[in-house]
This record gives sequence, C-alpha cells and structure tokens, in this order.
Amino acid sequence: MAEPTWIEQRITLRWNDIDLLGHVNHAVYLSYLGEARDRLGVRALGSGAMQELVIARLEIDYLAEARLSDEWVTARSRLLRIGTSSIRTADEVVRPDGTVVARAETVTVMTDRVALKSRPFTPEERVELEKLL
Amino acid sequence: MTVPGQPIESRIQVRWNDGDPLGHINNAVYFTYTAYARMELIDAALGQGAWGSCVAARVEVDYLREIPASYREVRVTSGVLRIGNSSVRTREEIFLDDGSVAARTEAVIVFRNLETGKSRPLTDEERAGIAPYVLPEEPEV
Repeated sequence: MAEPTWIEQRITLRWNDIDLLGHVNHAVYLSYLGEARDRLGVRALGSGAMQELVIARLEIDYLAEARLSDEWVTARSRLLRIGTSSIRTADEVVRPDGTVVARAETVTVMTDRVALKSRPFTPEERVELEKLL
Repeated sequence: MTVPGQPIESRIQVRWNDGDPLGHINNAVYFTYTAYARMELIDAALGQGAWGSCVAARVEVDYLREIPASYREVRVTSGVLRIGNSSVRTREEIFLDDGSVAARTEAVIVFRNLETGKSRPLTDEERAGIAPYVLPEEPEV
C-alpha cells in the first residue's frame, strides 16, 4: 500500500508567535499542527467533525527553530492508524527551506458532544478515513 | 503599488484557536490581526524590519460586528491618520466578507532608539516614507 499522503496547510507567522528567544514559541507549534489536523479531519469527515474531535494525547519533538524571517511554515498531517473511536496522526511543521522543525504524533478521539464520551466511528466515517490511509 | 492616501491591505489567515466558545473570533485576537496590518504598513513604508523600531503606546478598538469563527481569512487595512514628532497614529479596519466593517482601531506607535529604548523623533526619510499612507481627512460626524 502506498504511503499515506500529507495534508498540508501553509501558515503565515504572526509577530506574537515569536518569543523572547527570537523564535516561534514551542506552545505555538501546537496551534500550527492543529490547523493541519483540522484540514485532515474536515477532508475525511466534513466540517462538522471539528465539533466532535478532541485531542487525547500529543507528543512532540522540537528539531529546529522557526523565526519570523521565515515568514511562513507548512503544517502537515497524515493518518497513521484508525482505531475504534480514535485516530493517530503524524504531524509536522516544515520551514520554507524544507527543514522539519517539529514532529508530533497525536491521538484524536471522536466524541459524542452530548454525552461527552468517546464514541466509535460509524462505518461511513471509517470508509472516508480509510481513503486517507 | 502604493496609491497615495490609500491604506495598505492585508489578508490574515484565521486559526482554529482564534475562535472562542461564542462561535466568533475572540475580542483579544482583533489586536493580533490589526497589529499584523500595522506591521505591514510600517514595513511597506520604511522597508522590511522597520517594524522592529516601533512599539505600540495606545490602541483603541470599536467592535462593530462579530466575525464568525468559520471564517478562513479576514481582510484588514491600515493607514496613517497623523504623523507626530516621534509617533504615528494609525487607523485599522477589519472587514467581513460582505464588505462591512467588523472592527475599527486607532493606534499610536512610537519610534524608539533601539540602544536606549527611549522614544526618538522620526527622521526626515521616515516621514517621507510614511507620508504616502496618510489617509484623507474624514468629515466631522
């Protein structure tokens, strides 16, 4: 089977993404990654999915720095695994010169927003998600 | 291309976490959007990086309409109202897709000496660079 494709989102850096060290603050990477994951979720499950998907786990390695002079970065996400009620994605932030500055893996859970509990993906959702594998 | 008397226009990507539980862009984020447009104004007028010698001394915002959190992008303009001795007063507007104004801000940004951190008068070159962005006088309401 072919490698799952990256879903990409270009992000323009903001002045206040930068911290006192002159680089993008580590916490801000999480919002960049969220933009790419949102795109992946919307691609597979439609815009309503963003109301139902919550993050259960996120691990991230910071590999290099992004600076304001980079002007923009690409956040990208690809689907690694589909569980019963959760998905695991690989997420990266890439500088314009192609350097991967951060690499993350995230577990995102499908939830019933009324019961506030996780729920299994429906067969239809599963079919759509599998298209991204 | 600079049209004298016209504000510069920026398109700003909306991020998921700009939205708040009311389903609209949070009020504090408007500051980020308008600051970005101001930065582009100063960079357009004085060259990239010039923004680094300015600090905001005052910002006032009128919130006129909600920006739905579903927006992917907003249009923001920034122009100059007045050039002072060591400061510049600017006007920003954030637009909804239908062309109506979602928020209007006025800001005072102060030029400073990067060594001492103190305010300093604008140079003649800076005045000349900013002059094309001075907006026409608004009629008294």
